[in-house]
Amino acid sequence: MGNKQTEEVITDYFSELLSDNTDSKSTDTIDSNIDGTEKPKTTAGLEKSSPEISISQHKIAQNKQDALPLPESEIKVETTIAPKPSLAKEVHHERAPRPYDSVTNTKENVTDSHQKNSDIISDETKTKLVEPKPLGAPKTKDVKIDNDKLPAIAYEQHKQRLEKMLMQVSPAEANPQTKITAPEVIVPVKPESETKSQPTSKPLTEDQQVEQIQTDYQPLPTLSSEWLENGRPNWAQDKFDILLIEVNGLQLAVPLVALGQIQKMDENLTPLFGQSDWFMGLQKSPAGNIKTVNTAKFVMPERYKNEHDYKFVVSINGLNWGLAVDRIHQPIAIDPDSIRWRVNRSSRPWMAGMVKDHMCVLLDIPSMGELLQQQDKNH
Amino acid sequence: MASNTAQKSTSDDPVLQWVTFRLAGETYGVNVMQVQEVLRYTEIAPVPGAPNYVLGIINLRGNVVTVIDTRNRFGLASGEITDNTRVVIIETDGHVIGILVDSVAEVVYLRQSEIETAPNVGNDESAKFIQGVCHKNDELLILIELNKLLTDTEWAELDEV
Repeated sequence: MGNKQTEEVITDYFSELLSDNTDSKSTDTIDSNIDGTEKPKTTAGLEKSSPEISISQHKIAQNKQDALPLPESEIKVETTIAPKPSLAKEVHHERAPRPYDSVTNTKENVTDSHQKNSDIISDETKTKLVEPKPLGAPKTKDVKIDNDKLPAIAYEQHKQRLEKMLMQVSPAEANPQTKITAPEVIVPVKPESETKSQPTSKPLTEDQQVEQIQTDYQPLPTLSSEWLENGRPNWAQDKFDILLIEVNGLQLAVPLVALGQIQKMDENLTPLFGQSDWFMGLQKSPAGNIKTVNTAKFVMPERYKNEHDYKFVVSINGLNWGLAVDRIHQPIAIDPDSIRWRVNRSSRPWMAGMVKDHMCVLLDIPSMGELLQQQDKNH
Repeated sequence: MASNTAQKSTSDDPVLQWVTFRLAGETYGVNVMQVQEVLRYTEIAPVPGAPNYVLGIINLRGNVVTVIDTRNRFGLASGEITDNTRVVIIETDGHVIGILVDSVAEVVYLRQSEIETAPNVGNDESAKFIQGVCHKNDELLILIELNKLLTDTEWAELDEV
């Protein structure tokens, strides 16, 4: 047979094949599958081809997302069904020639026939054919891959890729001997006298929880405000920590050991009428109502001019009094020798001395607490 | 029904009812047993020469009732009259007076054990009016002791108004 006759036979064969397989909706479009779903232009007519179709064509035809990234050398054209004329050029020249029943199909012939229709398929389509689809993408609804029909080589490659991916995903499972043990939780055992019986069947309401916290809270004993003969308070005999606080632009130091808890200033601080101007009100806390002191007005009423909003309340250890402050810095360890202790403390008994390194006043918090207690007529 | 609730409480921790009202942004409570009625704001006739905490008098079903400026009595800033302003008629030590409040809220039930002592760190005599404080419904109630609202001398002055 001459080349021309060969081409005619091939073309007729493909035409016949396509007229049986293509749908009325999208027969002439290269964008639709035979069953009407979208597919790449490259292998539109091949999805219902014989089982001899190579894996690459089959996958590319049926499902963009399922196509395997096979190397181009593995791509084979073995189908007995001829593709659409428009798709004929999708059978790239890189494919092996397809066997035909009555036509001896050579690679060259296929190439020639495909090149005839090369003008139909755009370069973009060819690019799509060459570029493999990623593995593992979700399948389309109408497409099913029948593994039984896939060539053994491609299937093995598929399997190898899957196994490789699984190994990467679960490294923990590779070492089943590795065990994760929870850290030991040491629960302190309270004496029976301190524990209270509670109904365990019903959850506690919020009020009950607050009440429980308040009853369970046991503040540490108040520090003594006594000063010893060496001119230092009882709590400053050895090296101790101080907390630097800012109050209305003034930096002060407070001994950390004399403090209780630090909490944010409550917006719903309840003022009480008939109190001193340095008394801000009552702040609710888990330990009860904290009587909040306007620290700036208390320590330096002559300098206090403008009202401003405090941010934190620092409670005094053992007492339900708290000092309102603007800022709190990190605690600092200092030596008692680095403080210039006051000698005459008749006036301003709440002032302990001056921190030389920071040039700020050190408050005698225990003495201040005693002073506040004394001023409370209802105490 | 309310009295049954009060009777349910133990003698050691009685449940008391308090009429709460708002004044200058805070919630106060008075013993319900001392509250006679709550009236809408009506025109108060000023009385010349009366103490500065006296707003004036009103006619309550033929009876003359003296109305107290509660804000002034508590040392709070003066406020405006609104549609929610009420006159709470109270009875204490045989005296009937009215106190002007911003609004009346509700009656709450409080156990004696829930009432905490309020601080008194000022020199102002008004602090003595506070009987205690109590947390209820995420707010702090300031409980007023009406018996201490006026001294015997001040009661005598009101009788002459």
